[in-house]
Amino acid sequence: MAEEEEALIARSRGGDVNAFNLLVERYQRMVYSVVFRMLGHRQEAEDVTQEAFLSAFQGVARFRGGSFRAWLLRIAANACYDHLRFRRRRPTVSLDVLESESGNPLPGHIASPEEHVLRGELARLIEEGLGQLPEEQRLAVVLCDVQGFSYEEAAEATRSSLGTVKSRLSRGRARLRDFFKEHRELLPSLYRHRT
Amino acid sequence: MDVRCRQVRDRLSEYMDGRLKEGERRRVEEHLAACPECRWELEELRATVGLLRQLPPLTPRRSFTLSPAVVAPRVRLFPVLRMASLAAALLLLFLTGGEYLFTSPQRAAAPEMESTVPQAAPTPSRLGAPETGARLAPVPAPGESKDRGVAPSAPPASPVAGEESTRAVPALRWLELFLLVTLVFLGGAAFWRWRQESTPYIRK
Ligand SMILES: [Zn+2]
Repeated sequence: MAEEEEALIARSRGGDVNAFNLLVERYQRMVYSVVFRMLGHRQEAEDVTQEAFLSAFQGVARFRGGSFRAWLLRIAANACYDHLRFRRRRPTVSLDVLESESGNPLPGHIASPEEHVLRGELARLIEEGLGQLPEEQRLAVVLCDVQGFSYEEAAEATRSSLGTVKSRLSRGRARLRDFFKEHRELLPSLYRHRT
Repeated sequence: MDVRCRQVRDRLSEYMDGRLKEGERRRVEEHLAACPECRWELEELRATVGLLRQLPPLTPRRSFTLSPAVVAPRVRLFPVLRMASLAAALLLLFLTGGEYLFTSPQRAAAPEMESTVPQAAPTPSRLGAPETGARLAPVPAPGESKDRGVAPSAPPASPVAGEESTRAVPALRWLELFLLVTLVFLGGAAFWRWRQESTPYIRK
């Protein structure tokens, strides 16, 4: 699969959009998931994801090996930061419009088994908690804890050092823990043990 | 909270990921064995991460594959513009340099000629300095001069033999001005194309 991916990347470099689209199909759920959890808004997440893939195609000649998904996410993360900066300047999206995607499955949306595990209020609450983190901590948490990236890959995707990833992740987790403690009535048993 | 607890809690995130070095890991574990508060802290952190891990991957409503029309290769104008700018710059350099080398001794020897030919007044070394614009004030606006700049080069076509060298100077001035305007235009256009073509979000 890695070899096949390299071949697809090489063909994309030559301008073969069909080859690139196979890579898009492979990674779009992951990229979209990260972008959505960074932005908390479905339409904006779609636009930013699309932009990120277009940028990636136009810049694929600059991909210098390593983890392709980390490279893609770096582009997507930059697009998210730009979008968040844009949103701060023109705050048309207020926080209460932020949607929970996992909480509102669409008609025709077929839930995978793990989506049955976590849905509705709980997913909504977690996404709300993520939304309260500073952007860089949020990205570290989304990459490492939600997407399961290693510290190394997260560092590559954020162009930062391992130490930076560790400390962002640590602070982000601690903040989320405090957030969950404030909402322990909605959470599974552990958070209810102590009042 | 005592200092030791604070230090340990700062390490818990890495500890639970198994990312602490041997010695540090042992120190954390020793503290945990003796401190129920920090143990509880660790449990809460684990529960937090456990919740995050359960967030499912999302299924977007649409696909993000690119349509060939969107990514159709554009005409690569930038290299062309860049070469044109370079050519104009070299020609300008050549002209001003040549003029400086060959005409300035002559002009220094015959200053009265300059008073009859005002456009010839600026010394070559001042070309491009702010006052150049003022000296060339009767010149059409920059936008027009691009098209009309060539016209004044007509005078040398019928020169009186002895006056040729002095007539050539205003013609050169016009040519230089024309080149300067062209250079600014081409440089601007090349920069604009470059900004367009360099894709966003891919940063070094
Ligand atoms: Zn302790």
